[in-house]
Amino acid sequence: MFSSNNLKAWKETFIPTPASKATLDEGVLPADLWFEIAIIVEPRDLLAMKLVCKALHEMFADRELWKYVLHDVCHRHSIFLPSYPIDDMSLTELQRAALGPYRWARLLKRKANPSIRTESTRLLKPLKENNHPLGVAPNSLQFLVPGGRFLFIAQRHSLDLWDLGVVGRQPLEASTLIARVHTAPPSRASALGLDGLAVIPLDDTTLRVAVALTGKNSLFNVYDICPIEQGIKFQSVGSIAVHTEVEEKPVCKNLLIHGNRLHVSLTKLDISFIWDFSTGRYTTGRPRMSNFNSDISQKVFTGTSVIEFGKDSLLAWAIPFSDADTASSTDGFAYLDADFPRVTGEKHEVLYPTWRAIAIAMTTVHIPSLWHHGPVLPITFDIIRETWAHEPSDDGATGFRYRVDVKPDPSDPLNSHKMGVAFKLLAKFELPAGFCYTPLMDATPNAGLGARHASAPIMRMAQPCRVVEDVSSEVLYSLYSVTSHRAIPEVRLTPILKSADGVRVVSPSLCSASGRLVHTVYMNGVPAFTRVSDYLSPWKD
Amino acid sequence: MVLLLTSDNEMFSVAEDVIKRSAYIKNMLEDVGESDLPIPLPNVESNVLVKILEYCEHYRGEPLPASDVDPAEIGDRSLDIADWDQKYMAVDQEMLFEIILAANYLDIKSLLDVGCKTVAKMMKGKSSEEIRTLFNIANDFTPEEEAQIRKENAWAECR
Repeated sequence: MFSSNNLKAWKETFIPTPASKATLDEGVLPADLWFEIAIIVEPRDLLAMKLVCKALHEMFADRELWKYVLHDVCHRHSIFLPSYPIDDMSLTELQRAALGPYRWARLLKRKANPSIRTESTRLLKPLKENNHPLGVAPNSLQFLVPGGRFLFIAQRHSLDLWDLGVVGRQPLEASTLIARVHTAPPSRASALGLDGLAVIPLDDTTLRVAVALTGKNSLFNVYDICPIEQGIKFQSVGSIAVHTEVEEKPVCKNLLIHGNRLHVSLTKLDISFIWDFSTGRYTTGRPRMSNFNSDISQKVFTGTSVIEFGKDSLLAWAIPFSDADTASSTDGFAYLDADFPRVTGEKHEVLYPTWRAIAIAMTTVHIPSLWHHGPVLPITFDIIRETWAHEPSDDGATGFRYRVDVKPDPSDPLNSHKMGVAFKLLAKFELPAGFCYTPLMDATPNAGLGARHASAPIMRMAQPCRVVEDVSSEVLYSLYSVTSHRAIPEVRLTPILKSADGVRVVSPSLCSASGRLVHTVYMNGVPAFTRVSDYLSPWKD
Repeated sequence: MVLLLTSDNEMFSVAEDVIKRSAYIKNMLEDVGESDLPIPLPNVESNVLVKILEYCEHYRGEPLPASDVDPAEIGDRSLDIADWDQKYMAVDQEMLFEIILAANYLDIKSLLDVGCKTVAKMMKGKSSEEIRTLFNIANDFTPEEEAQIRKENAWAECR
């Protein structure tokens, strides 16, 4: 966590000129109280305060203050700190970066439409676009680290970390491959397929990555990497193999990391397991707790419990992690026999507050889990009518947005039976007729098309999907926001990408704090290049 | 009981556990010990002290904040203010600033926070011109300087 040294330096070194001191002393507040206010206002308001008078300008045009502000913005928006070279940024650069989330939200608001038609769609144009030949193979997985600078690409048997260049600065001549690791031993590589990638921040400078490779002997690897160190390498943190006699290849769902624990659900084998790679112990359970007749839904993993959003209720699997309930791995290599799982722990169910009021309900969950920090895990979710899902509906619908705070009992944080669950109604919103709704159920708060701005939740929407000549289709990626206008919620859309049959857009991900979008372009079914688009103006003075 | 003497020479007699919310007075009592002499508060007028005591009285019995908490530590940055505090802060602007100044002088951290949050909320989304009007601050930039500064910051309102 950021220490307040910068701020102290600023407070201690700032000496107002006699003229400014006189202005401040005669004014409403002395300098040190303006400092107190400066550190709690939004960056945008701080910029306005700077233009009020000479004394405030002198005080707030200070690099140390804006370094603090940018650190704080990074913290609040889950931006990975090394994305910005804060120590060698100019005042203007610091200010522009700190106002990134504000500028992006404002841009979207200005360009948003109440409705879109396929025929006359104008996409939001980036200010700068660069194509990078990152050598992406088909079926690779990508993760844009919040901040927009670092991109993980998991290929079939390798994991790469790329530096795309700092957002706002001169683009790099070419992206730099920071590090690469081979994720499967050559002897077993041919039998394994890439099936999942998850990234979390471990601390201010280190990222933790999990890669899932599935096959008859599935392999789950965890690495740490600190992208700004010299001689950067992926450090292996742990590896677990899951063996089965089942012929069919399992599919990995819900690859989630929390601290030193990894959660995985495997279809076909019908298990979920949680593996603590610091102790080598694991515990197994069912992949799905609800009897909701669908595929395995998205989950939240708090480290001590797994939360699933069913149709009518929230279900929590309290993970028992005592010695009696876990199995230990041997020889430093974790090995799990999936054919004889011992299901442990128990589930408990919490009904949604309004589910009875809606005839057919579905939920869409916005999970801050992987990049969230803090003692409470706030999960935002919407409950809307099921007709909204996946195909355009003839009539509008009412949505309810809730926030669920899941909090472990502070006196006994490891005992998830004592977990506190509280619902808070955030908004009720009307959604217009003629839309289909593709709920986004994962993605980090700031990277991913399902970005959620601090105040205005933004969801992903792939719409409309137009079928051309039976087989091909056109998909329009729009940012979808529910904003409140004079207390009346409004749905607005900002089309951002178009994917057509000849030129297909694959794995788009967005950092809404820096206004950078990254996607891979497939030409005639083959990945051609990765495109980096910047939507906010650069930082040049 | 503790005796307090305001700048306009009014004497207040206050229970010790009420006024201990002020770290300034708490420390003074610990340093000086029991005394019949009033503590002079040359920076606080009686009408402001009445308001400050109303706050201390309301939070009487609540635990005092730990003194080693670094105020600049990043934590809860929200501008949420508790209902009672909001009502308490619904005063004219002059009084608002007097409360902030007194809270700063008397070192009542929680009250200073609420005061600063209230001011921050008043400025939210406002232009520089509106902030000047709000706090009655004179624009001392020359027209050239102002044009220059506006130009420098024009990027903030476009993309």
